[in-house]
This record gives sequence, structure tokens and C-alpha cells, in this order.
Amino acid sequence: MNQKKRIVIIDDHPLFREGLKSIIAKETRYEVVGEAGTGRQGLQKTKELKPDLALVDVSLPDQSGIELIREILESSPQTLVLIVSMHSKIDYIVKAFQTGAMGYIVKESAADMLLKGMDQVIQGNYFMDTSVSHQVVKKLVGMPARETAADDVGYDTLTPREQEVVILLAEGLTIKQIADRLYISPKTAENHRSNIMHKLGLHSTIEVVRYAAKLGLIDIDLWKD
Amino acid sequence: MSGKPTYEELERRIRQLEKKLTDSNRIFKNIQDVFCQTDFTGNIIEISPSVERYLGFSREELIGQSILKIYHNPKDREQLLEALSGTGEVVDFEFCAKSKDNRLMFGSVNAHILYNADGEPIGVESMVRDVTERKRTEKHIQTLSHQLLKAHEDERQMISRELHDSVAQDLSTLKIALGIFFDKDSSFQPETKKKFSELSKILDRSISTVRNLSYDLSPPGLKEFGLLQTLATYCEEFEKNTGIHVQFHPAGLKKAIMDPFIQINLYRLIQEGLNNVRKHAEASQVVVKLVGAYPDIILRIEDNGKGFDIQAREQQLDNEKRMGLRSMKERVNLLQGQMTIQSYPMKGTKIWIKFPFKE
Repeated sequence: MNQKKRIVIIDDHPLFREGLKSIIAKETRYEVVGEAGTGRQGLQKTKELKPDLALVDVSLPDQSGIELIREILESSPQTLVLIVSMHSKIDYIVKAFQTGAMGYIVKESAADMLLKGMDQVIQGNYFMDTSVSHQVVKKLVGMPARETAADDVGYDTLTPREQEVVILLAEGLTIKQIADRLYISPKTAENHRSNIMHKLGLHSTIEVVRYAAKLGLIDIDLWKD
Repeated sequence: MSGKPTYEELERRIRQLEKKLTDSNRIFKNIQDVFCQTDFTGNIIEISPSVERYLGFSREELIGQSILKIYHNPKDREQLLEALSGTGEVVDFEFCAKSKDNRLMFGSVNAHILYNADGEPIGVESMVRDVTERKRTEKHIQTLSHQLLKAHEDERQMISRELHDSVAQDLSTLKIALGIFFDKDSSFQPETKKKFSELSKILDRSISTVRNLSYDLSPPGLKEFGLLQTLATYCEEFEKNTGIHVQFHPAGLKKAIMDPFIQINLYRLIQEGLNNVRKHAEASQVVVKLVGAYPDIILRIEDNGKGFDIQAREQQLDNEKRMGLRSMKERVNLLQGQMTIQSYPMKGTKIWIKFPFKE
């Protein structure tokens, strides 16, 4: 028994919703049961109607569509989400999938891709607009290289005070001078220093200088005029 | 012939000295600036009568008093003494003075250490110039240029939003609507349909242009994904579009909560910096380092391009009214930060920016 799949459309542009409805109307296997122009209404509709599929715009007047995906999935877990958005930036696409969307289509492709996308998502597959998939794959391919470049994770674990101390150490100040500068005791300054060395995995002042130069805290490669 | 000077000779010299003294006194009374001598404890030994014009205190009221009486912030005095202890001389040191009726004035000080006849330091001698009016004008100009930058930014955001949420949106709606229209009615001639598909391609192009324009005007995703993610994406796209290799190294800012004002200005600084590299540097590589160094943030943009003569460029900029580096400087001022540029022919250009950051 093939029941019609029930659809809710959430988009703040009424004419665009009309367009989507007309495309969907061509297929007897789908039925638009509700529509909404804001995130709040959209959430209410999906809660109430528990549709099979929600078509969601990521930029809505009252809230981010990304948040909305999360809320829809919480209140109506059986609903699948397909994003139909004006945004083509990779950050939006990645975030939408991370939050639980099953598909992503940019608005201008809707005429050609909407039904294809809906079919895929309804079957439980992921779907990505071919006009954006190129940059996503490129990003994925490039990712490992970027990851290894981020070898300064340790620095992010420093406290603000420790950040203050690192740069002073790198500038060649002694513990006593650092203590004076920051109005702390030499003992406290020494503690900061050893915590920093531990967190950053460094062993000598020279290494601190090199590390600070690499991050850009100081410049050791000054050009002479 | 040597020996004791004659009586006439002595009288002549005394008259000369008397004249010098009267001249000095007249100058002392009539100078515009304020001349001041203090001992090392800060007591005023001598001060010119001109002080009354600026601060309302008469010379007699001040002599023997502590100099701090006319300082708005005693820290300024400490800094002046500290600066003096270096070379024994200070030029154009600015401080904030307070008048008898508690108005704030700005003075610029030239000072040096005062010695007695035996060459021992006994105090400080200084000449102070009233720069209140200049300070006010500077402040006024700064306020205006800040407002200008802000208005510019607001307008960009507004236009960007309109383009993205209205124009591009309507074009997309139009595309869908036309598609449905031509699809529904099969009575259209194949030629008409072919024409439509051509027009549809033009629509696609317009949408893509409008969208890029919008993204260019205002960074998408700053609010949703944060500054670091948005910058990383921007740098990647810059690299893709220009072929200039960009390394973006943020550090120590993952936990930082920056207000939107700092975020947008940092984004713009990097955008402007990279655009300068693209337009002028002929570089193959740029490194962008953004580091949290509490209580500051440090930004470095370093390229390996052809470099330039900084002074000549600044003059040229003044003549051409080009905005590149100047608008970066304005922005840095806006963030109350500092910026230096180093450039060396055939080695490249390094921009260093530091500004205070409070959460």
C-alpha cells in the first residue's frame, strides 16, 4: 500500500513556497500538508503534523534554520529534513548535515533537483545539489592537510594570564621582570612559566621564543633597512 | 693689557646685564607657553605667569606647591619622570592638566633635567604648550571617521542582505515559476522552449553574480559559525580565486568571545590586507597569523611579494586618495590598536596589528 508522503514547507517567501508546491503537485506520491513562513510556525506545524519530510530554508526571519533543524528533529524524530536555501557557502552545507539534515539544495536548482532530492531523502539517502557538491568534496579532500597544520592546539588551552606570560617570556623578560610587570609574585610568575612549558610541551626559553615566533606573537626575522 | 677692569668698564657690564635681565623678565612674562621648574619632589620652584591664562592659577598661587596640583592624572607625571630618567630629556610628552575650575586641558611638554652650578641634578625644567584645541580636533576627526566606517559597514550589510534575501530570492522564484509555466503548457513550440532554457541560464548567471556580490559585501556566516570558521573559509576562497597560497594560523582564540564590532573589523582588516596583496604585491604566498595574547589580539599579514617603499607609497596614497592601507589604519584606530608596516624590496611586506581585546 503506497501512501502519499506528507510534506511541510518552511520558507519566508510565499511566492517561492508556491513554486515549490507547483513542482511537488506534479507528483502524486507527495502531498503538501502544511507550510510556514517563520521558524516558530514551522516548528509548530511539524510538531502537529509529524510530516515525512520538511523542506526548510536556512535563513528565516526569526531564527537560524540550522537551529530549526535540531528542534524539528527533537520534536518530530520521524521527519526527514531537506534544506532548500539561497546560501551556497560550504559552512552552511556542512553545518546543515552535521545538525541532521539529509539533503541540501540551493534555491536556483530547485526546479531541476527538488523531486530528485526528495526521492533520495525519503528513501533514507543523503542528497546534495550537484552545483555545490564540487566544493564540498574539494573541502573534504583538502581537510587532512589543514588538520596537520594545526599543531598549536596547546596554545588554546592557556589561560589569559598564561597568554600574557608567554609573550613576555618570548620577549626575553626574566621571571622577576615578568612578576613586576604583572604585579604578581616571582613565585606565581614561575608557576605560570612551568604550567606554560608543560601545556605547550616546551623545555627552554629558546623553544618558547621559536614557538612564539611561529604563532606570530613576536617577530624574530626583522628586516634591516 | 690685563689687570682689573676700570670702574667705567664694570658699570657698562652691569648695565648690559640689567638690560638682559629686563629682556628675560619681559620674555618670561609674555611667553605664550608655560615655563616651569620643579625640584625632584615635585615642588614648583618657578612657573611663568602665562600659566594663569590656561589654568586660572596665578604664578604666586603655584610656587611652592606640588606640581601634581595641575595634573589630572598623577600617573602622567610618573611616566614623564620615567621617560626623563632615560636620556635626561623628553620631547612632545602629552599629559592632561586640570584648571583651577576643574576644566581638563591637554599640554605637550618638552622637559630636561635641571642642574645646579656644581653639575648636580636638582630638578626638572619644562616648557609646556597648550594643545587642547588640537586634541579636540583630533578627537573630532577620529569620531567622524569612526562613524563613517560604521555607516559604511551598516550600509554594506544592508545592501548585502537585500541582494541575498530579496533580489537573489526573487530571481530564484522567477526561475522556478517560469520553469513550471513552460513545463505545464506543452503547446509551446520547441523553439520557444529552447529560448526559455537559454533565458533560464541567464537567470542562473544573475543569481550567481548577485550572490557573490552579496557575499563580498558582507561575510556570510559570521554570526552562525563564528569568526575563525568564516575567516578560514574566506582565506580558502581567496586562494582558490587568486592562486595566491594563503596560510591562515589562528591561535588562542577558540574560547574567546568577541563582540560583533571586533569580529567585523578583524574580518575587514584581513579582507583589505589580502586584497592589497592581490592588487599590488605580486606575491605567491601570504601568511595570516591571528593570535590571542591577552589582553591583546595580534594580527600579522605577511607576503613574499615585491615589497614597496613605505614613505613613497604613503605620499602616493595621499595624492591618489586610495584607501587600501589608509582604511586599514583607520580601522586599527577604531579598535584603539597599533599598526606597523615593514616592507623590503623583493622580500615582501609584513603588517603587524595589535589591539586591546576585552571579553
